[in-house]
Amino acid sequence: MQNLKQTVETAAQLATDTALLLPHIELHANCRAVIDGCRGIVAYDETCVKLNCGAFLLTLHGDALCMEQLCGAHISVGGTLVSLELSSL
Amino acid sequence: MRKGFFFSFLRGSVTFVAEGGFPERFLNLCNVRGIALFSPQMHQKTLTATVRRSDYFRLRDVAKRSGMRLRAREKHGLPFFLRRHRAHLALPVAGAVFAVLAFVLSGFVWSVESTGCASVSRTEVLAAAETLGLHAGVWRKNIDTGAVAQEVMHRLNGKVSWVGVNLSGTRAEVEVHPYIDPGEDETYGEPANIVADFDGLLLSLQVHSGRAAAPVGTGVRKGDLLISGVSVDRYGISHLYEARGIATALHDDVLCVERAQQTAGGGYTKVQTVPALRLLHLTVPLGMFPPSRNFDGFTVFRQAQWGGVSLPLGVVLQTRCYRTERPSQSTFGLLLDDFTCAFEARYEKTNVLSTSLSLRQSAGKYALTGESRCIDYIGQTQKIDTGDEVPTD
Repeated sequence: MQNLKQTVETAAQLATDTALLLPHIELHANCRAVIDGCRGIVAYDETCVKLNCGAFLLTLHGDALCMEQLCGAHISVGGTLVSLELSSL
Repeated sequence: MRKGFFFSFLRGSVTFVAEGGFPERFLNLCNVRGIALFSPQMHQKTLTATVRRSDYFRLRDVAKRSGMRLRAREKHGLPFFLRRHRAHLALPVAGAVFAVLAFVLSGFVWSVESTGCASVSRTEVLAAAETLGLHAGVWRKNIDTGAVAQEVMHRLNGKVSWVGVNLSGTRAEVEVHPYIDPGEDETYGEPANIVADFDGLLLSLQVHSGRAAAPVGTGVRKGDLLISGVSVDRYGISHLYEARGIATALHDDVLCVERAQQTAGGGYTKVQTVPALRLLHLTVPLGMFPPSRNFDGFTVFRQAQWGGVSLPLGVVLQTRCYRTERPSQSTFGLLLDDFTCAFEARYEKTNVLSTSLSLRQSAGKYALTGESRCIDYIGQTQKIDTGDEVPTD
């Protein structure tokens, strides 16, 4: 399946993340993280937010974390971000 | 942001608290079902968020599936406001009536003013405009300003050079420019200043030639310089010419008419003040007697003002004089006749704001005194002594 997607991406000359539907992660200094392509919330706390991003698990650590936006696959997390961790599901 | 807030207010929103269970599952289910959560915040396993009023009922099933307990904490918006105040139905009804009334009333002309001309009586201009349909209470869209201006100019033929009718909100302004003989206008007379004719508060100052010497809004005393006919150029040389302009001032004026007591003869012996409320062009009597058009006496109209704007209502005070057959009291009636004539002659070109009357009787004389607050033209030409005149002796 992965090979098929990569073949399609090569043939269509698309960016890798577009064809493979990989999530976009955008950091605004240490005060906001915008994740596009999130598939669900695994854990939500004031100090830790874990998001299911399909291929991996994204963990945000920080203080006073809060969900600023929750709209489909688009999530914006505000607060004071300390670290970001990527791990396999 | 404001637009979003406005629509959110119209739709209504609920801030809720969800406890227990699995908050993450709750958030995921909301996301899947398209329920928009605004600013969801987690604090010690308690989720606080805001949803639209219509979405709040859909949250019950989501909460049940995620094992959470829902509790509405705050309700915002118009639907909740109306529900809360449904017992006070008069409030929104009164608000709606007020809005409709304000909308309808703003379509009428509330007041008609005449400006810009000293040579033509204000009463004359307004009377001409009224006969052509421009008066307080007329529907704005029914006024053909161009036709009214043309017709007023035609009626005041020879006295004015140009007439314009401006509609500004609910106020109609008839702007009149006086007719100036070109022969007179081109030749300036002897050097002169314009000084104050009496004590008052300077309201306006239009300088046609010369230099303004008194600021508008300040008090001036009789003889104070208003428009100077002296100018100094950049070389320090003084030039003299005739100052011209129009100045108006607010002042208190006293008109006193006396008459010796008579013992015989007919005349007015009874005076009655009939108050009435005037709303636009509608007159409503405030007493037992309705106001009439044909009567002996005079009328004072006190228009209500608010923030410098003339409102479409005011109080009309008709001072009526009646004749009886008792000759011993006829002096007072004759005195009123004299006072009415003197009042009209003196204030023909004056805007009288209010008048209070007082009657005194002493040494076989009646004295009727009227104290009026009025706006009048204050300027008086005063020749500048240039020292060029040759003594006649």
